Amino acid sequence: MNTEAQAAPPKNRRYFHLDCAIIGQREIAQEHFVIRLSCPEYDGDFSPGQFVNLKCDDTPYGRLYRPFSILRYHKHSRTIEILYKVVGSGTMWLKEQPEGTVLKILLPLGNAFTVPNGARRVALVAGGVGIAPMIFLAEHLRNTRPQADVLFLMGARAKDGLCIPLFEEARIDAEYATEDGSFGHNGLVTDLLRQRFTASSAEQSDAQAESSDSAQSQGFDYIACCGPTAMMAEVQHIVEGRCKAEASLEERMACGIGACFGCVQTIREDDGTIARATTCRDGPVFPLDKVVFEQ
Amino acid sequence: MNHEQSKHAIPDLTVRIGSLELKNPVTVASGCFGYGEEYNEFFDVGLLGAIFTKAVSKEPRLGNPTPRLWETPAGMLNSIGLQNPGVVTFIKEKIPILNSLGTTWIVNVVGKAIRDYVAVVMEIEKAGGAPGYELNISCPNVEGEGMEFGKNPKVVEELFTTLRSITDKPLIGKLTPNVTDITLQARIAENCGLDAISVINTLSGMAIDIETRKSRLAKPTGGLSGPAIRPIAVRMVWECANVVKIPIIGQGGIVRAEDAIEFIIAGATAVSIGTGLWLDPDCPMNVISGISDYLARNGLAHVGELTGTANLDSAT
Repeated sequence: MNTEAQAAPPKNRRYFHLDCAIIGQREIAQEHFVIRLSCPEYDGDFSPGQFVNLKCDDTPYGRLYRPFSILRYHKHSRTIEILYKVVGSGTMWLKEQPEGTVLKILLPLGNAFTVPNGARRVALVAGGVGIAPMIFLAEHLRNTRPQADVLFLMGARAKDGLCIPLFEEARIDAEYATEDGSFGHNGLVTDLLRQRFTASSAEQSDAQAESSDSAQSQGFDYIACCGPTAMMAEVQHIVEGRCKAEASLEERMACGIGACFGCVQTIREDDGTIARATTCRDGPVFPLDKVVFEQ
Repeated sequence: MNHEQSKHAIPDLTVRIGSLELKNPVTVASGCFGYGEEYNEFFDVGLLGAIFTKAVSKEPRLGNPTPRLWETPAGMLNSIGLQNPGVVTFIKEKIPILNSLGTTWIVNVVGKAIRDYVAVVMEIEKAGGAPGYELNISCPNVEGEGMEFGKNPKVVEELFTTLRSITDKPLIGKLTPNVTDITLQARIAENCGLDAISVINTLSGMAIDIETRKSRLAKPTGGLSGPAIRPIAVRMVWECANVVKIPIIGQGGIVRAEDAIEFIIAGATAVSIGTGLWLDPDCPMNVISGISDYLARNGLAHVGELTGTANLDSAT
């Protein structure tokens, strides 16, 4: 290399393209893998909701980078954990890679959940592989907001997709729902939220009637969700803007940094105007009441 | 400079596009690089030869619904729908950033009718102007029953002539490959006094989900880009270089230096990287250094010595 090109980082560098090595992967449910990546050159951090782009390929002309939410980040060892489900050629390739394989990674991408200071009752609603950022958020809240009462609701089609080993190893108690009734509530995870939300709203109204001071300790004051579009649309419907709620959204991506506008979400601004925001840079976490679910 | 000296000197990468001098021939393609600010948080975009901005239209455009992307073998289809904030916001919010990036920038202009292109260029000129303008003729012409501007040579001629009459700044025509003979557009561009042509825009393509029998995109069709289209793009650059003398900015599937060099040998003065950014985000810098290495290795003092040097005798 004989140009100055390689040696000139921009002043406000935010994104890094680095090497990471696979230090292990294990199947925790059918076609669901947790992969651990060592990324020693990255000295930054991650917040729950953020993601990385991984090159799931060993040819220069092959696949676009694939976005993956962070499941967990161990800053002391600079180890990233990602949960992925095998859905296409990229993840099919990834699951075959042995320990020691070096991958290209673009990081840190996207924004993060913004749990209000002083939030006491928090609900996390996850569906399918939407569990990954929710586990990260649950562990983060346990470490940083020990006073918060966090209710974790997890749904999947069947028991295997609940990824129960992840909850066990993280020592997170959750309430489960399966569409086929093979574990937990027989139905949708949003059924569980509706029951709890209605109950806690009623409690809150009662409490408010008695004493406004205790109101905050009753109903949810923050809800986060990540999962299928239909699930998040239903959470939006249940919450109806009655407490702060955020959703981590997904869309097919190319650049990962907000330059190509491939991954937009339709957003209704406060003044009612419709805008299209990039999932990769403006998101993936959006205020739930602003999201226009189109399907 | 004798041959031995040139082998060891750092080659001169500067190129000219009309009155613009680019520090090197490696640019980034319109639509792939926002307005420069995002990638500047990843690498020093001031090292690029030039930035072609996302399209700018007279009014803001929301663009198309999602899905807007679909990956294909060695490429991708996109259907963004020219989402952009409109020329007024572009001038207010994006030009100051573009002016701070340390390289030249060329604004890609779109419209539904010729008067829309005129309005965009006039507005920007009133605000101090852009270093250059690239005219996107792959968008539907509402006055021509929605057919792409570029598919109708008469409309292309009228558009280029009109725009040439309102600015002396470098004007670049971005040609559409979705025609039988792309050299028609190239000749029109040269005859109308344009300074350069970008060859090629995306190829119209389609992908269907066989389970739902719906398009993989929200719209039925999209534009195909990436390494899959490179041989077509190289051929079209070569065809255009055979009929016009104005500089050609070659593009279509460049990821590595050798891809860019292939375009230059075929007749390109400069190149643009688009989808390659998403196959290897480091590729613009690697392409710049790779071209320099190639020139040094081949004893060429200036990148211009490589342009249009294809040795095709044995192929004819």
